[in-house]
Amino acid sequence: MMIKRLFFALPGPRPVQVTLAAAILIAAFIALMFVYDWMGNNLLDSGGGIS
Amino acid sequence: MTERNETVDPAVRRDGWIIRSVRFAGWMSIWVGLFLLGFVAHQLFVTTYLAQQNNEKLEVEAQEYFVTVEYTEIPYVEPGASELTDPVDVRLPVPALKVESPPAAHEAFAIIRVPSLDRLEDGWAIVEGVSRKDLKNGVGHMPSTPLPGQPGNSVFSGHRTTYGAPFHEFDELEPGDIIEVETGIGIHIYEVRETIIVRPTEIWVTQARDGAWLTLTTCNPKFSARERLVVFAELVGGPNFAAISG
Repeated sequence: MMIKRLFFALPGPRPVQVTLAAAILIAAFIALMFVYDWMGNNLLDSGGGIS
Repeated sequence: MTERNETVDPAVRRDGWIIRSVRFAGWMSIWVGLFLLGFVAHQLFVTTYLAQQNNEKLEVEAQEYFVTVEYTEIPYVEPGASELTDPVDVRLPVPALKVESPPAAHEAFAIIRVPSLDRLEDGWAIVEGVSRKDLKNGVGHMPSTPLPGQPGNSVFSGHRTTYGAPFHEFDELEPGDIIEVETGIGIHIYEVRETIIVRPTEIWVTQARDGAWLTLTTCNPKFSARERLVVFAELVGGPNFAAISG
């Protein structure tokens, strides 16, 4: 329900809303991968280097 | 509207607040759970898939490097050994040390094999450098240390849990186990001498040593970057063994 509300709150006609939603999803996915990578390197396995 | 609100029983209002809080906590738990599930899947499966794909390409790159690598042969004098000063002192000629040209940064230049470990039985490519990007391929060589098969202490680092985890089973290594490192001048054979656990800042493990050594470092324990598991192995065979051992 909340996701639906957020989608309809996007500006512009329906095709613009769909494009914006897709762009936001892709950006969020990339950001999530960076967060996962950072967490993995700092918490799980940094690669074993000595420094 | 205001009139209706005023007539709401305080007990009902309190129950509504509790229900909303429980619902919020429930949804938050689901989202946090999904986030953590995604994290585990990313680290264990996605990074491993990517590293394995990369490793296949890098092994081919390393094989091509072996064919093109240039090396020179120089007489090896152990540091601290006396020069020939007495003309009567005749020594047998020692085999020359093969010295290969250093690889470019990030280039795959060697392959490590550990016959006693399933994960490294078939080999894993080694790239020049130990930056975060280099280690995403699995194993990296510290550029400030000698190349494998050369006198001194050649240091490699590798992932234990993620990115293919080439050093995953390093806690199973025991003194006497064999580690092979193939480079452009041949296969260098090392024998494990010691395994220790240190803090990530203990750089003394990378310092130069007499003879020819291989030092392998990885995270410890598994699924944590808190400590480092360090494996020391000494050269016992290969194209430069005779020259270095004298």
